[in-house]
Amino acid sequence: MACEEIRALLSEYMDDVIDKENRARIESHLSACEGCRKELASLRALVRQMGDLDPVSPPKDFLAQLHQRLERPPLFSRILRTLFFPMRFKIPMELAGAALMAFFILYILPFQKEEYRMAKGPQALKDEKRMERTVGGGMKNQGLEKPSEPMVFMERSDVRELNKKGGPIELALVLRRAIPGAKPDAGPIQEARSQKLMASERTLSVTRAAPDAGKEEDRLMDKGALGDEMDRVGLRAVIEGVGGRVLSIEHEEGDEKPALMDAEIPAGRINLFLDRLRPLGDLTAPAEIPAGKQEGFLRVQIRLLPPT
Amino acid sequence: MRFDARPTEGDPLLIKAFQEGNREAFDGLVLKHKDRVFNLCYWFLGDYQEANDTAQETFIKVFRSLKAFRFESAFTTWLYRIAVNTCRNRLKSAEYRRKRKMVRIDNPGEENPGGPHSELKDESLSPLNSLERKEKIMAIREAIHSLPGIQKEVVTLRDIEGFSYEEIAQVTGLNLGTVKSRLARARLDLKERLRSVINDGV
Repeated sequence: MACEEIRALLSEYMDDVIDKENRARIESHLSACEGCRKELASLRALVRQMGDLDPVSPPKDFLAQLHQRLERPPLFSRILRTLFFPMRFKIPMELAGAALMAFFILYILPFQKEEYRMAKGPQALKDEKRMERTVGGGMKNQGLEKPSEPMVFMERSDVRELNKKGGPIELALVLRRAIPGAKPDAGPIQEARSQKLMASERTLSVTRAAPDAGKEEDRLMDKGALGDEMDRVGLRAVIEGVGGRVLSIEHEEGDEKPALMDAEIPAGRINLFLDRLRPLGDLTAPAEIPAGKQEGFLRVQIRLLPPT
Repeated sequence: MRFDARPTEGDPLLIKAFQEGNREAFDGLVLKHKDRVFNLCYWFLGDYQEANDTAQETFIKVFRSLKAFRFESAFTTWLYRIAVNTCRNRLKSAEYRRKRKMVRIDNPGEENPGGPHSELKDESLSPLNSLERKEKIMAIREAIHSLPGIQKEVVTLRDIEGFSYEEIAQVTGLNLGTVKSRLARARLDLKERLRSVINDGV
């Protein structure tokens, strides 16, 4: 057996969960191969040293805290209270049921502490745009989407009113294509597009909101998968080109390895920003984005997705 | 120091007592298992406060379902299955992701100002050694935390918590073959990342 095959099995061998046949093969290989013996030794050292770590203890009043939480009224009745009193908009009866289900599935299970918002109803609900909102900037720009582009944000009910209570605008960007020859684990590298974009950005003046934003981002980028670096660089250029700044980048685990980027965009430039994003891929954005003359910055969260 | 003898004896007695109306029996279960559950949450989530919230949530779920527990599996298997799922949900939540970006997962002092620095118990170490140790611990934490989800789960359950392969399979819902292969991969990954830190005497 080749060393590479052996090394892939050393973990099982070490824990003694390997089948007899492979064990015999490994042992005979090890007796002749010093390289693999060393690999086994360092594997053992790693596992031993991980096992030697002291456990991290919970706070001393863990049980007391638990009792406190158990005294609180159950989640269910709290949800019902905020869900139905008061109703800010009318939903047909059958949709109320669906909304409630969607609400439970999307919010109760994953979010323990999130503020309880009312379900906005399924995506098909047309009346949504006409409903009264208390958005700070008002709902000015309806003409944001072109008919050919997907108008409905994937997690529609997740769209928060614009930065009300600190919620970011959530965008999704499905990158158009991958560069051939890229590693399967790496995200699509939009070299051609990003560089082109970057070139056009150089003619604009870039004002950074904070001088050390780049450092923070670099640190995070070093930690994340380098494969998506080019996308982020292109995206960063777009963000900075409108006078925004990147707050953080996150590399998410999972099969498709999307990445999340948090940024601040000057409120007055939000539509310009969105226009510049579109060339990078298929952009999905919420229908209502307050436009124009606001001051200050809008928080934006961009989810990068590999091409489908 | 890993948790070696797993305190499984006595669980059925406590559960039965609870089911017969003795609420303090639940406290007994919590006190027995909280340290290990907490440690697991901590390694999964990389944050002391998050670990506390998630561990608490785990026991709340246990409390709410304990009356209906039918002893079809060991209590610990059931308990850790809940813990793992609660951690997974937490990792997916938008709130966690937002928090995680802002806090660097390396310095225990930053995250848990009130919490114990239990990782560094041995004060007889010289300052230089204890610094090295602290750096090593941080490096291991970061390395584990940056693993992909499944790999992180299996290596934490196996090498930090000391579960058997079968237990890991039951608790994570993965099949045994997957546990083996992901664990092997995780360990190889870690070995590479931690090459400069792990003293392997080779």
